[in-house]
Amino acid sequence: MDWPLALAFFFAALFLLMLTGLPVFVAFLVVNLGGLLLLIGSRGFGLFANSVVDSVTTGAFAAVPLFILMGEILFRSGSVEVLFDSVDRLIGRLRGRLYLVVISLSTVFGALSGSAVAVAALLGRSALPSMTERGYSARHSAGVILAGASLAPIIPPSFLAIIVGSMAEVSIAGLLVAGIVPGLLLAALTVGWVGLSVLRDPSVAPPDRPASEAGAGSLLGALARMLPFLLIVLSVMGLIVLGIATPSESAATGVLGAIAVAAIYRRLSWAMLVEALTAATRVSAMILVIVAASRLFSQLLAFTGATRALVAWSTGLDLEPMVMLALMMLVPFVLCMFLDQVAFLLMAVPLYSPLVAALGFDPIWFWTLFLINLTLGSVTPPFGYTLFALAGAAPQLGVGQIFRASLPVILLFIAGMVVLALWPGLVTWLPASL
Amino acid sequence: MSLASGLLRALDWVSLALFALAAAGLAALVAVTSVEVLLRYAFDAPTHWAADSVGYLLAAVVMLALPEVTRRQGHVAITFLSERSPWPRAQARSLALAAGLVCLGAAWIVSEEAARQLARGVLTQGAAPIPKVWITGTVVVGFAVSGLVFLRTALAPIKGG
Repeated sequence: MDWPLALAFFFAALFLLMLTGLPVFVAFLVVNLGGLLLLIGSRGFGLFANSVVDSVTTGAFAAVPLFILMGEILFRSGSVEVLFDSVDRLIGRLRGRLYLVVISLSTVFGALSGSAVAVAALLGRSALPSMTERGYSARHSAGVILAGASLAPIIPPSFLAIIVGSMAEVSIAGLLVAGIVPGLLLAALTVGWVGLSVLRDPSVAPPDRPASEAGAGSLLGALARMLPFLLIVLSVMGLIVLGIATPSESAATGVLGAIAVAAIYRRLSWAMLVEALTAATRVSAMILVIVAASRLFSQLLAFTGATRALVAWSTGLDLEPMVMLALMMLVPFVLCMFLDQVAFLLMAVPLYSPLVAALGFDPIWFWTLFLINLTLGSVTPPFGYTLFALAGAAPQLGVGQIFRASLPVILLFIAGMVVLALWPGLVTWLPASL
Repeated sequence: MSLASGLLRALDWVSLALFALAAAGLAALVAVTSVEVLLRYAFDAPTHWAADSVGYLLAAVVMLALPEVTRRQGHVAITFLSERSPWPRAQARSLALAAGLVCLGAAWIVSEEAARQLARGVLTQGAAPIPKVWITGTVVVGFAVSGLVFLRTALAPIKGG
């Protein structure tokens, strides 16, 4: 089979199967088993069995359930509410305070859940009604939630970064740490947009009643209450940044830290721990079974010669590296409007990974941009997944209003990506110092 | 209780029992990794078994939880087209039927490999080897029980007519 035909066949089959609504892992199973039969025959089935076993025993993936469990414990213990109150109190009497609270919280929620869809749904149900009720602009409120939620796959610990790192054979610790500066940059851009909007049109953020009438003593109290929570976040990232522990090890210590934080806040109970454990087990299985089912896909592409030929063809075009980068970013931007991020990631990494090496791109820089791009596609109308999560959680807004709210977010993220593409050091200096 | 409903209930119990094992596996994953961190960094005495055990436990977490995720219809799927189908029930049943057959097919393929490993006494590679069929068998169980759960969804009677 010619490589362009093989490539088109495999991707079209996968894409169509997914669009039928078949579970993504089943779509990968069909294509991989069908591909094996077509290319090697039934004697190749042993390859499939071994690829699944290898995937589910890859130690690096252990960080995924461990980080999810850490987030579940912090969510379910109510520790996040303590943080919410403290941030709210610290920001104080500022006009547009709730915008800043939501951006801060979505950054934290994103770090804990790693899922833009989950954060958008959560804040759409909890924060959005309260904001619109107080007279905040619905469009700006939705925009801030979308922007904040979109930081989830970037702000560490991100399970997407762990999957990319493992599949593309890039330092997982490096990729996790690389998300910090871009995540903060995008959060700062969002704050800047909101600030300018409030300055231009004060009606988008009415004078707000303060969180409490308490004074400076209360501010210190707010800081003190945040301390255990911040210690856990900093200790997890600190252990990785300082190179003391691997991501899996720091995730395990993060779980113990989350239990300790819940105990400090007097929210620790067996029932909560069991709920967190079962929820984390379900979510982890849901994600990692897709990884396991898809692992053979890259080997099949390599077997057809498509991967090597595509690299040769792409590098033979002799395009400027920035043009190649733009083209390589255009594909996930478009396809992530339709496809789940994990599903697209698992399709793209086998093809992109050799291209990144052939083009001489810094892998940490490229994959960080790629992760931002995945999230950008999912907030882009008309099919962005995160948009529909927010629309489902906040039906009072209407899809049209949410679409309009997403436009400034898309522009902000594109601007952020251009900055990061032009100044790769913003992404690479922190991982380089590991 | 008819034989069919008894079998369906048994399938629920099997899914739940496997899920309980998977959750226990995740708790063990936390314990093993934390012990390794403590022994390595506090006592400079790393274990030889922790790294391998993490892989084995991860396999249990993923594959033994799979039937319960299937039972709760919790898999990632792209549904914006299927949600607009004029025959949503028929489409959902067809998809579940297809998914069930694919999972059972995958279980059968992996079971052939498991039988081969059992016959040859193949061990895992690493510092703490175990019979590889234990891991491969977990994969077989995960796919097989999930396949049956999918088929149950496809063939279940429609409630309320």
